[in-house]
Amino acid sequence: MKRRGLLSQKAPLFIRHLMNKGQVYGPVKNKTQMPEFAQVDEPSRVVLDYTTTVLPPKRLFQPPEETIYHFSRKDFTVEPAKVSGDGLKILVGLHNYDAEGIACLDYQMARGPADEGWAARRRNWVFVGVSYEPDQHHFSPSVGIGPDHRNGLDLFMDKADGGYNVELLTERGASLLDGFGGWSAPLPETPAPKFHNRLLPMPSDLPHILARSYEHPIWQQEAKRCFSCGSCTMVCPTCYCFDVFDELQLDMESGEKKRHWDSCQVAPFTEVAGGEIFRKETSSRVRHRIYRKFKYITDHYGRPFCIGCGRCIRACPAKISISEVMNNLARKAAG
Amino acid sequence: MTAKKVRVGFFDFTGCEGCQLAKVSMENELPQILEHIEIVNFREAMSEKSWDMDVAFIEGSITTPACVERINRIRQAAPILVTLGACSTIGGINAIRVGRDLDEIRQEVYGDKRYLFPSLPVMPVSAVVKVDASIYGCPPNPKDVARFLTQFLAGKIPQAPKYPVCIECKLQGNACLLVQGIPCMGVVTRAGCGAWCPSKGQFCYGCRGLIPDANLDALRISFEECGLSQQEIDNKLHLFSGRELEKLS
Ligand code: SF4
Ligand code: SF4
Ligand code: SF4
Ligand code: SF4
Ligand code: SF4
Repeated sequence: MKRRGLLSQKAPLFIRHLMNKGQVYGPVKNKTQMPEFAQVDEPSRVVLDYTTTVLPPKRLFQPPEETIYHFSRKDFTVEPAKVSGDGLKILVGLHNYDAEGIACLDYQMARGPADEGWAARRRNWVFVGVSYEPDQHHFSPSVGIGPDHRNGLDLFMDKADGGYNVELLTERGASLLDGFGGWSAPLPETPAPKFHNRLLPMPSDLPHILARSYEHPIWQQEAKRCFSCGSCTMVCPTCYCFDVFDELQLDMESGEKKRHWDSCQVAPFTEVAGGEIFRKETSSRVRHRIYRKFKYITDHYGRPFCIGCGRCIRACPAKISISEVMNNLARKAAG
Repeated sequence: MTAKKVRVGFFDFTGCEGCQLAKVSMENELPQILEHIEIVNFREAMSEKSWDMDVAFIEGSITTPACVERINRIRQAAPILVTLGACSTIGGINAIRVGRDLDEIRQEVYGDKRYLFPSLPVMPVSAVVKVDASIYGCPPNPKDVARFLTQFLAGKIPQAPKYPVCIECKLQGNACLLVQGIPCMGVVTRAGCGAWCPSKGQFCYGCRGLIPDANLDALRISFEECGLSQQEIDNKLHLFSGRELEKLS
């Protein structure tokens, strides 16, 4: 594999170079100085050295809230919302697990009736990965996404002494480098990052552990602490549930059919006409999320539907940890 | 549209009048709203039979025997009754006095003249008459009021979300304050405001009241971990939801 050295101070120049090739997106500082996936207007605002973001890069392909179509009650017309899918788009600063998260949703969104908005927004992207220092919650290697994982990436910026070693992974990625003159010789490598969290079982054992844990008391125990607030699924890169609603303008004539992300963790999620709630107990909702990640979808996807990013653990006000739950179930199954 | 305007009556009870449409930062929308509704005023002396309206909006909570009598009269006259704001919907900040001795409070407020001012435990309107729909919040959020009005004018009885503020907080991409040890009520509070406060870095006060099945035991544990005393936790819960807590206990 080809590698080129890039000194830290040259990184903004490199991003500037990419901005001449297409629209660049990446982790940029938001109003609270936190990195958030958005379009880059100024290379210096890109944060390449970050732990993680609150919302996953999914927000670029399925925005938290979006218009599906515009309608008019006056002349009974419907106008689908436009999704710009043309032109090259470059996502820089993607952690390798987040690329896998996007791959999970590429798979799921194409099943059954395909999600048109997702498909349209996913066209014409080049992904530029970057290495990261895990915090106490990342457990990606336990679901098969170790530091050397490069699936789905076109270029990779591997943090090295004094800058990055840029790896050329695909033709598409390599062609983006044409005309950039800021390279150095490959830089000295830094030690591989250490992970502080992990799953005890092998990825292939996870569905089997859940298969025999449906009635386990752990779901009730976790439910005592759970607020049913939904944060864990709202921040999850592989969640995709949404709610649809109408928004009328005050002229009472024009309006929009919209959708926004929703969560299976909140009680009204399964409420149907008549007031019946299918997953009424908090414990059944806590269980459902974890089965969605390691059993239900895994059974046909063939791999965990969790990428070990740890976002759900960081976002949980009740300190509920998906890795801890799986480890407790594994220990109990073993002992 | 040329449809007949909806005749709306506004009625004030015990509250700060901060819920009035003009004060909920809706001055710009008012002309448009007034294309569809006609605000009607009634002299209280008139008999309720001549109160010709399609819907009554009630602001403020029920705090005196006179309030009870008046809300009953309004209910008889109004085909649809809507509460506007936290006071009429959940008791609101007035319900802070729930759990305290009424005579003591009257002494505090009115002194020697306290016997001239009969008082009742603070009640939301729904404790006295049937309520058809509610606009939550102290103050109500302009976007939420617009949503309510458009749905209502389109012929629906609008429903407020039953999920917590956290959902809207995450739609904005905010990092959680509670996780950072800041005692945010968003986890147990009804959404609909677009996570107004946490999106500005301020914890949620709980002004839209509790969601159904709010996990208050877990909230107490979290707030203790934020360093709050039992008294401070009680105060936070009672600021808006005194009446709702009473229903739970
Ligand atoms: S974030 Fe935590 S408290 Fe909220 S629903 Fe998920 S597990 Fe429950
Ligand atoms: S379940 Fe949690 S750790 Fe797994 S992908 Fe979702 S947010 Fe990340
Ligand atoms: S059902 Fe729950 S876990 Fe599954 S995608 Fe929807 S929100 Fe996520
Ligand atoms: S800051 Fe408050 S509203 Fe936002 S997610 Fe945390 S608890 Fe919920
Ligand atoms: S965030 Fe909380 S206190 Fe602020 S408006 Fe919303 S419900 Fe009220």
